[in-house]
Amino acid sequence: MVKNKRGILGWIYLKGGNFERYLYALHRITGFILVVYITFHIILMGSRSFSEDAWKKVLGFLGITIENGVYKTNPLVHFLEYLLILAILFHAFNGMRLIFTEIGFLIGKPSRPEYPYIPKSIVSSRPFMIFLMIIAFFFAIIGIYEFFLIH
Amino acid sequence: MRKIVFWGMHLLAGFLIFFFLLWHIFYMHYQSLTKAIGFGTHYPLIFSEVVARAKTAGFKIAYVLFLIFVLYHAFYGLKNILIETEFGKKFEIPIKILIILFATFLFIYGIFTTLKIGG
Amino acid sequence: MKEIIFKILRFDPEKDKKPYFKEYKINVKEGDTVLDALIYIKENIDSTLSIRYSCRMGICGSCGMIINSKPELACHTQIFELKSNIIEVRPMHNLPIIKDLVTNLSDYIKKHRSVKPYIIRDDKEEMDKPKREYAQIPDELLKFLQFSYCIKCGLCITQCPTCSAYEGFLGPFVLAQAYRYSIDSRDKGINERIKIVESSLPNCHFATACSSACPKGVDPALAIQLLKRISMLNSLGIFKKKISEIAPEPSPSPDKDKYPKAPPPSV
Repeated sequence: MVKNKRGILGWIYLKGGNFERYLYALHRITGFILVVYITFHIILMGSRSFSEDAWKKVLGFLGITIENGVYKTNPLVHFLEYLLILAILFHAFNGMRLIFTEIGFLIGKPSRPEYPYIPKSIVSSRPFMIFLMIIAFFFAIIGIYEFFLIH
Repeated sequence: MRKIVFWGMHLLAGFLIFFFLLWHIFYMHYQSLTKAIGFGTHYPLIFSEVVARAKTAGFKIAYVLFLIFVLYHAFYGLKNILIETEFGKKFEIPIKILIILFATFLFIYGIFTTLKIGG
Repeated sequence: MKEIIFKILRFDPEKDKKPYFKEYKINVKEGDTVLDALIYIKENIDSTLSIRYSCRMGICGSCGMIINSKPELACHTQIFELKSNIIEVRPMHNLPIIKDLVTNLSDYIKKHRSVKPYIIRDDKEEMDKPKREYAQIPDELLKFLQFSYCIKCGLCITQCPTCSAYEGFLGPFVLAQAYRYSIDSRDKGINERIKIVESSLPNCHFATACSSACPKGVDPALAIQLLKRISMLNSLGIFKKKISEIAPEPSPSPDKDKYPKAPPPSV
């Protein structure tokens, strides 16, 4: 017998899949990135408890310098920071949808299946998803203004 | 405790992080917006401001709660991702122990940071 | 009539090391299903092709396969509806291939058995020698009716991202069946069942791939999320369900003597 398993690639195998499948893959990828980020974030930001020099060193390492109250940032780091904001926004707003749907809200009630079978759990949770994605998109647009037009 | 309750706490932590994290991002990165609404500061990363902020009781409590929720949510999620691989199925218990140890280390480090700078 | 090229994934465990695609050209007419074409190939072109089917009308759940990258029942898919001259047919993913298009579902059948998909009651005597049926109102029926249409074809497993790498996961249809029996008002076995399923529940992430693949409209994703809810409430001790009792004895008709007697049983 051949095993015929997709393995980890099955997480991001999207051919013939529905839209929520894309959200699932993205949620998983952003989640993993955020765990790695939060580890470094906690360790690096802890430098503030040692001394002012340590704090400034960390900021310098991240490409941020503050002189006379003016921010100067490394453009690459700044761009990566914005990508991180996008990941957080997606993970947060998609996660909000998952919190509600995974405890059985906003996914409709069981009913008699009638042809053509349109799954109620998908159809019922979509308006909420679209609503959340619009808000996330709105915050992402403000982010462009804050990140690239001001600083 | 039942396994499903740990998962429920993962969801609850996620729900609370949602609000903490929006506040955190707004405070640290969306300065012109927060300034327009009337809270926050233009330069949240300057050391004097960082220290002043860390000394207020509200921020101290918020930081500790935020740390607990984030670490629980993040490392429970990481455990779920790792366990779902073929590799993770074989080493389920070592992975769980390592994750708990690492999360505890980060928790102690974070508490130490908050308490030391906050006095 | 139209000529269609069928690309079929072939694998013989006695000869081949790896599965490979083989092409067949056949003429099909309107209304032919993919299963019709596969049977035609087996009868007229290549008798070594292995397929599994029983009912040919979407009831038995034996002929699940991947047709043009989509999980479908072969008997349920008309060739002209696919609107393609090349049709790629391969066995279901995430399940071991026995031969050609036949996959091994026994792992999931075992898992299905493990969640006790039957009514559990305390009164053993009543279960063995039932006096009458348990009373149930239509609303209580509607809570699980949808999930009882499951034919265990395995298409949900094929699409499920968790099933693709994690063998400990019970699988969408198994969990849906666990919910179907746990919410049934005649059942008292919710505590036993939740002990078995609860380690699998956190691994469902509501990708709803199972629901979009289901050929019978069972919506396993809905069942699993509701199962999460009731097992959470149950573990907190606040889950309540009305339990059906045995239906009352029917009162004898007042004018029973007027009706003619039933003929004696012939068998």
